[in-house]
Amino acid sequence: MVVVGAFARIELDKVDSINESFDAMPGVSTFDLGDDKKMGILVESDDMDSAHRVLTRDLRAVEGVLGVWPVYVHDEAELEEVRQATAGAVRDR
Amino acid sequence: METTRRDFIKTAAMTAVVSVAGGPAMAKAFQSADSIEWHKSVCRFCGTGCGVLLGARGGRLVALRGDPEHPTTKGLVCAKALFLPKIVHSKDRLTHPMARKGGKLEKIGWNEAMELLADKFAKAIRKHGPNSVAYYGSGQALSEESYLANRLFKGGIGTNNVEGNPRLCMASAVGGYVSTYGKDEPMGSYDDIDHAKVFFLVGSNTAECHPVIFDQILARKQSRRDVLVIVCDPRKSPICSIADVHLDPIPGYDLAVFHAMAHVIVKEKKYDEEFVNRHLQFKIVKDGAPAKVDFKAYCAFLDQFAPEKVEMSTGVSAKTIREAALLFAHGPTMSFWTMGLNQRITGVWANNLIHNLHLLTGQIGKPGATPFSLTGQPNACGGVRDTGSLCHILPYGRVVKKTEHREQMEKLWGAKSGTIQPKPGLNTIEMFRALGKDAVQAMLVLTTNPGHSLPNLTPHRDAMGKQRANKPFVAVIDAYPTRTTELADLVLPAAMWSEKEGVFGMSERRYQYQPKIKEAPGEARSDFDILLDFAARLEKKRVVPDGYIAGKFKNADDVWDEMRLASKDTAYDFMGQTRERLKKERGLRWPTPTEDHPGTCRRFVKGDDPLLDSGPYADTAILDGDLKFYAAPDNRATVWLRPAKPPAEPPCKDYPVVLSTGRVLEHWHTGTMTMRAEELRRAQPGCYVEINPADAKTYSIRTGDSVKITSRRGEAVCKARVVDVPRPGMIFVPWHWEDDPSLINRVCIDAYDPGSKQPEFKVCAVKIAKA
Repeated sequence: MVVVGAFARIELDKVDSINESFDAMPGVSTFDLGDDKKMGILVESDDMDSAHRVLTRDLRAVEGVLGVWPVYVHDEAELEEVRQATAGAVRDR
Repeated sequence: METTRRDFIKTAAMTAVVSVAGGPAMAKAFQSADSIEWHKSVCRFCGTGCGVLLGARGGRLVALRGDPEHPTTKGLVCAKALFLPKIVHSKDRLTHPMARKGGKLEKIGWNEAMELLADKFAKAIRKHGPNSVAYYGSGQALSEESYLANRLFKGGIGTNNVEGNPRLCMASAVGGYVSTYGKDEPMGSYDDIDHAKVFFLVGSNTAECHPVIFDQILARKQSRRDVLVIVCDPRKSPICSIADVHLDPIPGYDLAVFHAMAHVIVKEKKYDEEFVNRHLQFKIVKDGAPAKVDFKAYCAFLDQFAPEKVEMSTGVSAKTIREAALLFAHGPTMSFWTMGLNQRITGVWANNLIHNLHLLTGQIGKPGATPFSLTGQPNACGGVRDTGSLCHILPYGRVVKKTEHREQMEKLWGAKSGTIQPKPGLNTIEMFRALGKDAVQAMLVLTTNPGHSLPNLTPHRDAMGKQRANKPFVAVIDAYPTRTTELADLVLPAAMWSEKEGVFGMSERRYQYQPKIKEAPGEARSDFDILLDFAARLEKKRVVPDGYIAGKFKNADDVWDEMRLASKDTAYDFMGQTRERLKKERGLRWPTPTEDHPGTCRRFVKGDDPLLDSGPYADTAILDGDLKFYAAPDNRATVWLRPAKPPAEPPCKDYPVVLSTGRVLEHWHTGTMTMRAEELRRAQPGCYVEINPADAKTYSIRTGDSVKITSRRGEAVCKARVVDVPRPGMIFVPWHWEDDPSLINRVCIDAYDPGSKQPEFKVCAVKIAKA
């Protein structure tokens, strides 16, 4: 499971069509940031590759999207790797 | 449970986004929402200098976030940065020294490795003199590391053969600043973005290469309808999506465009007459020497560049040039540029001409009005340019040619008088050419990958690695195996970012401290520690004076204190940036002469620049807000009358296409780091060439075809992407992939700017064919 939090800068007059395009993308949901020119985005996917593709290609390709910046990445597979690697150290504390 | 856990993670992700994009209020709550220990640090990639929070648990880096409290980047980072923890923990990190034995690299102990290194250097120095050894460093090493290496080679060994990869990326910007204003580094800062009404983006794919700066430009453009963007680039890179005016010159022919803009500004009387009279001088190079001319002569010089006259040669319409010029003059205008201007045989001149536009219009030293070169590496500015770690310079604005400057550094370093040579050492290209001729007998390469990054790569790779009688000794210090370590005689494993402490200095003169958060893997040591050990062994072998470095410095803190002293009373003065202060602050912009000075937003401006209040540059006669170019001759900035010289290798009948190289969003330089994040590697898995549809038709090439690109120097093969991005007659290839068919730098030319010595990566002539 991968969850990415990001935001997009958007053209004001294209908010509706952008929302429509994002809604049509599997695993993509949006939320309000209290700023008309920005849109909060959540990308959920099975793996990092597809999350990254959505983030760097698909979202940017939508007309009216000026740029997308990721802010938070949660990668369950990677976390498991870290958990295993740090298990001893965490127990010691 | 999965649903609950997923919801929790989604909430954390949303909170993070709100904390950055919606304001800093929620940031603290978010940071304390888990058991990870967070440390303030700086991103390892480009020169933007994004503040980051590094999350560590049990001795591992587990996360990275933008630092919402950072004064300029305000919590933003790009996609590459988020993968840094993974990159640091890459499974193929170098963990033990290796020496070449019987043609293969074999594991050896540290003592044997360091003795081998010191012995090879000592023998070369004794037999052939100090100029038979060389150092090739990096804008990715810490400031203290570059300073120490520079100190060792120039003041200890007595050679100016000290270079670094900033020669390949920023040297022309340095030449531009120095020849125009007298000293290097921008006078403005990122604060100017919030005041500019016109952005002039020249030869800079800001959206992909400096995404956080691009966000700030976008934010400014979104905030007001009267904020406009001029883009000058022969390629329609992603920034063109926000361009109001796009100048797309034929690659290598933009100097005439800048002169044409100046011509319009003069003819339309849009220049600032009072500013011109008070602050400027005009110069032309005649018979090899600069000669002063007057404003009238400058105007006459510009007549040959009337927009209608340069349309044909530049490929840009007179109407577009006129539009850009008038917008520029309207301002406040902030220019950003990077490799498109710098990586040229006319790089310094191109930089001069951007400064000319700012100076003519007085678009400088005021909020939102400044020229500003963006930097590709995290510490090219603070680490290499400022510490004087190139073959012709000394720390903090000094040059090896000036007796006074050499004496100052010899005194501070405790070097014997006359140790620092008055003649510049070998520049990067000449250094590797000398290595190929066995004139350099021992070379130390630190934190960089010249076996991939040099232009006209094949002979330079041979210089480093081809076995021959009397082959020079090449030692490489790196954290990862690279196309350079494979050529080395000795490989020393280095600690990576976050495994050592020190300072990075980024594009806006801000010095930022980064802490050590975890231990380096295996036997890897910090570059600083290796350099200290190396110096001590050279002292024992009596090729460096006894006690010159050994015993003087215990750690990077001690070196930092000496660096502060070296900066005192120079135009870089950062005496006020004590180690303790840097550990607390989110960086400080020099000049910072005293411990209570908050840092300088705009240099050369009375009331903002503290050096105009006290010290050797002080001037009590001018008023707050007045500008004084105190480092320039006669305190006047220079407008240069530069010829519009063509590129070194224009297209011709046999090689009819122009090759330009550059970067993509996901990767950084030779991919040493980004290729180690699987996700980034898979997102851009292989090299490609962008071809304009018109050219694709001519050569019957379709997207996905293998294309052979051939120059007079070599060839590369990669997949075609037929896109309306590069100009017709031009192809673009990113240079990140290290596999042999993709090594595009084998094709690039190593002709360089005679002033900055920076090679012309951006323009060379090639032919293309379906492979």
